[in-house]
This record gives sequence, C-alpha cells and structure tokens, in this order.
Amino acid sequence: MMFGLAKKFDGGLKLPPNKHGAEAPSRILPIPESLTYYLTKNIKETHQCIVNIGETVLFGQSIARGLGHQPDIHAAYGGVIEAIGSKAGPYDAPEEQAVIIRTSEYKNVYKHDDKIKNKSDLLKSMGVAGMGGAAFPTGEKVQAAGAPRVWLINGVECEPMLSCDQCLMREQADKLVQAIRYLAAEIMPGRVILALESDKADAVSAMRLALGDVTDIELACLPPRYPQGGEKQLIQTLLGLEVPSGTHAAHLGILVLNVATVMAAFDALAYHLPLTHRLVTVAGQGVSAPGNVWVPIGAALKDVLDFCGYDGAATLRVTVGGPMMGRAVNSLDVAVTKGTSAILALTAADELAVYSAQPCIRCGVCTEVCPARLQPEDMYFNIRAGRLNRTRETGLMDCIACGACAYVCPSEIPLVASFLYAQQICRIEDEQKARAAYIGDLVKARDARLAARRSVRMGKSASREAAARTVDPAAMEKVDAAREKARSKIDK
Amino acid sequence: MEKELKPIKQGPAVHGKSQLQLLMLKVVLALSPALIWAFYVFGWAAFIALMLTCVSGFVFEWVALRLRSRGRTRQAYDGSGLLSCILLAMSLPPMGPWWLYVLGSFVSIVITKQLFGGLGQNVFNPAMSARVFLLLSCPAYMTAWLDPDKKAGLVDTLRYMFIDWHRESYDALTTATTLDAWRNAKLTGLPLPQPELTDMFVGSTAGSMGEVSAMLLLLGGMYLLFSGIIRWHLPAGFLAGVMLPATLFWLLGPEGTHLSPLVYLVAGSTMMGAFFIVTDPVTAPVTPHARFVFAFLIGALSYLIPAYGLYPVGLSFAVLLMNSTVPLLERLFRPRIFGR
Amino acid sequence: MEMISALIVMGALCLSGGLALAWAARKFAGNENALVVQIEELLPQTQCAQCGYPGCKPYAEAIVAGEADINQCQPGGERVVKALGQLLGADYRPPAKVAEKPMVAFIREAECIGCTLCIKACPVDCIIGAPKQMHTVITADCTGCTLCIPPCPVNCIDMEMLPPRWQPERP
Repeated sequence: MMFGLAKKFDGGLKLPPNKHGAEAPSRILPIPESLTYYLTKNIKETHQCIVNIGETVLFGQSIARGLGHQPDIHAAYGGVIEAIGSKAGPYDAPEEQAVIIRTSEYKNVYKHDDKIKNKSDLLKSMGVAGMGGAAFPTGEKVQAAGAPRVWLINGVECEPMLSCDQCLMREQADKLVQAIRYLAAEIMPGRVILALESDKADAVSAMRLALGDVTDIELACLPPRYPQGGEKQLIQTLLGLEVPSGTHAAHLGILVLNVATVMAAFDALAYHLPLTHRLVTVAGQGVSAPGNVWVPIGAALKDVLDFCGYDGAATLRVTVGGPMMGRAVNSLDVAVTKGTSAILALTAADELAVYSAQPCIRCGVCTEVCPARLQPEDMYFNIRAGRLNRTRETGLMDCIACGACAYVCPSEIPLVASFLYAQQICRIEDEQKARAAYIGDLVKARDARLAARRSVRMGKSASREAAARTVDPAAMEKVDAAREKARSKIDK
Repeated sequence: MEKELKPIKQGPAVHGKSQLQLLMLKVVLALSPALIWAFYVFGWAAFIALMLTCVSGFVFEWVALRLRSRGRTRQAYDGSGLLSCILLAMSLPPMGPWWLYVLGSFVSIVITKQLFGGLGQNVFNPAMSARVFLLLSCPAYMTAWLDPDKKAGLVDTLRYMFIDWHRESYDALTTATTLDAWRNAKLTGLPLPQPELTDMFVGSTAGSMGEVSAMLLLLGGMYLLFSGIIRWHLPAGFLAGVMLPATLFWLLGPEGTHLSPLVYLVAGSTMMGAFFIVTDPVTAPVTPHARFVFAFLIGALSYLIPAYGLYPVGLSFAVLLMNSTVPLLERLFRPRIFGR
Repeated sequence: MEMISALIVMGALCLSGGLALAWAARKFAGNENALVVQIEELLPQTQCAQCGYPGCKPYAEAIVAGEADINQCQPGGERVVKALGQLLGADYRPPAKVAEKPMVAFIREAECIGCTLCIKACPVDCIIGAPKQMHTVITADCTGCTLCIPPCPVNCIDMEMLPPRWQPERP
C-alpha cells in the first residue's frame, strides 16, 4: 500500500547523493588475519571479557558479556585469543580496551543453547544492536516499546554516499519481508510501515516485488531529504508527531528499527544466530572499487579498504560512518563495529570540510536547516562563552548532531564538534550531580540511623529513670541536685 | 591519510559549497548593474566616490585589524569591508568633497565595525551608521544631489571633489531628489511636482548611486533571492512595511497630502533598502519571524520619519533604531524547539 | 531662604530614600536557608571534611555566613568553584588544593581485626562488617574521603586509584 506524507520534517536540506558503487552487487571480505572487539567506549567499560588469552574460540562464540543493556559480543570467525589490551578506537578517546582474535579455525560453529525465551534477552545475548549508526541496544528498544502502535522499518538511508541498506533491500528483499512478518508476529505492532527514499529506485522496486499485493506492510516512499532517516524526523514525516524532548520514540508507542537491524534480529530470534557480520559501504574517491562489502565485525579498516583498492597517497581523511554523521579516524587499525555503516576514504575531490572557523555573519542558514528547530549560531556563542546552562535551555540536548548546520555554514564554523563537546560536558556534569545526590541520600540515611539509635537509647534511659523514681524518690532527688550542679558548672 | 588537512574527529567530514568570501562577492555582483548604471548617469563623480570609499575603507580595515593582532589582517580580504564600503558609497551623494567619503568609510569600518569586534560582532549597520553620522555632521553636503544633466568631465569632477569643494560651488550642479523636491514643496506650500514614475524606475533622476535605478536594484535583488543568498522574509517585510502605511495614508489622508504608494514602489531607495540594506545579516535577527517583523518595522519607520519627522530620509534612522531591538526580537520570536 | 529650602527638600528626599532602602533590605532579604540548600546541591557530597568543615552542609553554611571561601572544596575542584562563583557572583579563583585522582578505600581483609572503628568513621555508611568480623568497602558508594584511614588500628586500609575517566577535548 502506498502511503501519503503526514508532514515534512522541519529544516533539512537536499544533499548530493554521491552513492558510488550502490548498484554493484555486494562482495564478501576474505577472512582477515585478526579481529578486534572493543570492551570500552571512551574508556568506560561496556563489556566484560569472558575469555582468556590463548583460549580457542569458535565462530559465533560469545567472547564478552555486555554490561547493563549492552548486547554481547561474538567472534565472527574462530581463532585464538591473542591479546586483551589497548587498541586504537573509533570513539572520541584515542585508545580503547579490546580483545584481539587471531583467526585460524573456520570449520566449527559454536552452538548456542536455546534456553532463553524472552525476546529482548535473546536479542541481547545474540548481540543485536542498531545498525543504522548509533548501535543502540535493540533488546532494550524492543522491550521499551512493548507492543508498539506503529512499527517503522527504517530503510531511508538519507546520508550521502551510504548505500548498504539500499543494497541489502535490493539483494535480500524476500528475506527482509519474511523477517518483518516474523518479527511482527513477535512484537504485535498496530501498523507496520517500511520507509525508504524514492531515489533508490532499485530498492523500491525490489521491495514492491517482494511485498506483492499483500498490504500488511505499508510501503512509504519518501522524497529524498537529509536527515529524513533520523528516528525523530522519520516519525515527524510519516506520522506528524514530535517525540517529546528528552524521550525516545518508545514514549509515543513507536518502534523504529533499521532494515539491517531487522535482519539481524530475525536471525537472532528465529535461528539463534548471533550478529557477527554486516554490510558496510566502502566509498570515497580514495578507493578504486567502491561498493558494499560483507565484513566481519572486528575487521580492521585497513583490511576492508585494501580489499576495495585503497589509495593511501590520495586519501586525506578516512571516516567511519557517513560523511555527515561519521567520525574521522586517526588510525586504520580501528576495527569495524556493529554501528559501522560505512568506511569512506575521502580525497580532495570529495569537498572536505576544513573548519577554518571564520567569523559568524549570522546569515541564519544553520537555523533554517536545523531539523530540531534550534539556533546553532546562538548555541555556539554560548558554548564559547562557557554559558553551558544557557545553552541547555536553548536546546543543546535536543541537537541530534545531524551536521546540517556545519555543512551549510559559509564561515565553516565547527558547530557540531562544539555541540557534541558541550553535550559530553553536560552529561558528565549530570552524572556528577546524580552521584552527589545519591551520596547525599546516603549521608541523610546515616544521620537518620544515628538519630534513631540515639532516641532509642534516650528512651531506654528515660524509662529506667522513671522506674527508679517510683522505687526510691529520695535517691533520685540527690541525682537531680548533682545534675543541676554539673550543669551550672558547665554554664560557667 | 597521514597528511590530513586539519584533524577533525566530529562533525561532517564534507562541506557544502557555501563560503563567506563567495557570498560577499555574489552580493557585490548583484549590486554591479545598478553601480554601472550609476557610473553612466553621474559620470566620473560616481566612480571616484566609489573608489575613494572602497580604498580608504580597505586601508582603515587593514590597519584596524593589524592593531588588534597580527594574524587578523587576512580578514581584511574577506570581502565584507568591500561590501560595506560599496553600500556606503551608494547611499552618499555621488559628488561631494573627498573627505566625505573617507570620513564615511572611517566611521563605517573603524567605529561601527572594528571597534565592536569586527565582522559579525557589530550591532549597527556599518553603511547606515556612517550615513547618519555624515547627515548629522554635514547636512549641507548630504542633501546636495548631483543633477544627472549637469555631470562634469574628469578634470572638472576632480576639481570639484578635491579642490573647490565649497558648498556654494556645488549649488549650480546639484538638485533635490524627486521625493525631497515633493517634500520641500509640501512644506513650503509651493505647487506639488508630479513624480515621473518611469524615470524613477529606470533611473535618470537625481539621488544617490543606490537609489538611481530601482529596476536594476530589483534585478540584483531577484538574483540574490533566487540564488538563495537572502530569504524572502526581510525584503517582503520591508516592502510590506513601506507599502502598508503609504497606502493607508494615501487612501485616508486628504487629497494631495500624500504621495501615491506607487511612487515609493518605484523609488530606488525602497529597492535598495529591501534587498541590500535590511538584508545585512549581521545586524538583522536570525529567525524568520523576527526577520519579518524587523524588516516590517524598518519599512514603516522609513515611511513615517520623512513624512512626519524633521529629516528628509528615514531609512538610515529606521535601520539603526531597529538594529538596537534585534536581541529583543530574537527573544520574542524564538522558534519552539522540536518536541518541547 | 532658597538655599535652606533646597537643603530641607534634598535632605528629606535623601532621608526618605534611605529609609525606603533600609526597609527594602529587611523586607526582601535573601533567604539564607535557601542559599545553603542551593550551595549544598552544587557540592559533591563526599563529606570528606577536607575543606576544614565536618561535611558538605556545614561548609555550605560557612560560605553563607561568610566564613569560608568558595574554593575550599577539594573533590569538587575547578567545576565547583566555577559553579559557586556563578551562583554567588564571586570571581573565579583556583581551588585551594588540587584534588587528587579519584580514589576508593580498600580494606586488606586478611589483616582486618574487625574493630568497627572505620565503620563508625565512614560518613556514607559504605563499610560493612560486624564486631570481630572482617570489614569490606562497598566500592560503588565510597567517596574516597580517607576518613576511615586514621582510626584503623592496624593500618589495613589502602586508597586505590580508580581507572581514569575520559575527558572530552575542546574543539
């Protein structure tokens, strides 16, 4: 069934698609020599390693348990644990703790038992995370949404250069439809909508063909616009609703999953297959054979880039993720993670941002393109002046870091970098405040405990005294006199 | 990979084509038809006036930046000073004493712009503040508009501008603008002249370089609008602000006491204001609603000040007045944040 | 005569103005308790007493009373000085003592004799144990205040460094 637009999301802009290699069939990366799995994110522990150095692991074996809601990590190929230590990381901190596997054993497959029945626990133990970029734990998301009113399947992929979801929908349309139907039976949504952009004609026609005349899955074909694939923007476009500030889509009873995540969740729930491989777009003028590659999670960027004809001399910048929301990396030893949708080798021909930070002329284009209706220039000045609280009032935490403002800024001001910095500082402050409040509660509890004990003691001695007065009043008078004397002495 | 331009970690790795210098040059390009026409109408005087303003403006800017710090002088080449100077020259009489232009560019560049912190930090419109400064300091020269029929050759023009620049020697060459003439006639009770609408629109009447041809300014404005450099809110707000009171007073006021709104529509100063003066991004609000209100009030004031005030021109005063309300307007018209 | 009347009028004006100000100062005086609560909310609540006051609330009260400076909180460091400066309108000054790296107490359980002295000293009740039983620290709740170290008769408490925290860099 075709689908009418409820409302266009605010702001946004048209970007040149630059989807080189999108039409090429997907390829498979040869087994890399080593695989790296991160146990920390910005040095904060996210996973607990459950293997030892020298241990042999099998394909699909769990090697680290996620803390909290974090999904577990599984070996993408069998091998020997070579090291557990620091490794160049893809996040903000330069180095992270990681487990490194030397691949050697390809035949045997680790058999997961099927004891876990709860679907969100199963998703966590099969390592399913959001594959659109943010790697949000899928189990937690599904649990929070309960039986959603609307289930949106996000195949929008609005960022330039990315084409992994497009390739997946084109090549595995039937499996995707099967996966959606299987999961729909599990999570019981009121409506199912598959959203994609109209400029990916091959994916659109493949999905139409796979869906046929059946109307249980609505197909929404949207005019391309960035950042339409953002969860909040997609909800606004399709349903005309705004996710309230500071909450998630689950708050409105909406579940949004990326197409690749849906596939991974299907494999996890139906076949107990952990998430070990993903489709990654390799593009940019720095590779001679751009396209989509099935890559084991944990493979080094170098291996993937070399497979696609990497030209290190021409490349000026390598990013993990798309050109708008991805991050530039300092080392090619960084490994592919579950959220790595693309590896881009950008050269001078790719119109790189240099962030020369010339003076802001208040042209207001950043305000126009902001999908969250913020005023980036105003926020930037407040951050520069150290007025973080003011920045928060004007919506710092509502910034989705889509990069539209920095992209259009004629003065090339590093807007997004400064917003992310300020957001991180604010989060640290919040954590410290929450901790201070918690410790404050502990202190209050201790004071209350001590006060209670004191009053119990006083109560005991008071009842003892009352008993003494009835038995021997004369003796107590003497005691009272002595007390009076002592008190007057103290007063003096 | 090793020779990355400037290491970045966060924020888009690529950038759109929009660049500060390019933006400024496009505005200059949009102004150029009107400028060239002004050279044709006013002869050498217009050209010399423009050169004087721009060259002295550049020198002032370079020196001011150099005094602030060594690394800043490259900002003198960003084109913003050039644009301010062109706008200033276009709002001054095409022929005047040389110091008028040098003083104007000094006030505009050094006092209004650099002393407030340079590009992007100035509260008031540089061109308009310099114009107001000159209007208050030397009103005699600021109301003497070169008569297009009496334009002089190069030598005579140089003599008039650099040596023989006494007010008396200008009297024979200058006249009043159409709007001024009408206003003076009304104030002194003389018979009201009938404005030549076509002449005003095409541009063959006396006035500043910036108000000579409404048609060519409109052309430049359309270019800015369609190339996405300015948005419709500011020009539309300004035009609405001028036309609404003009129409109301014309319809409701006694016969012959107010000019037809059409005269304002074809006046060069209206087009200049709508597309090039109120659209100065630095001194205008950022949000669309605030922009419309800001421009509307400038338009209304620039109609009301000459109609009921002491001064024959209202635009520059209106712009400065509204510049000071920008923070208030921005606060009043802040858009609702997504999801709040 | 004119001069005298001017003097009288001006004098009366000044007097009434002064009286109005005095009345306003009393009527609209800031609520000190509210300020104490606001300050206390900014303090890290480690109750470490390193500021020279027996806890965070006493320190907050001392600031309000004008006895203490805003830069005495050691675990709070620069952040708290800035926050207090903003709240109270005071100028920034560097923290009096530079905070050490975040630490937690650790009891070498084999040496612990179960005297409960450290339990009594702990301001946040994060040491568990009973008389004659070995004690242990709930690491998650420990604020690293070191108040449990002096009372220990057998010196079996160590301060251990916590792993470093990543700090975002200014772009």
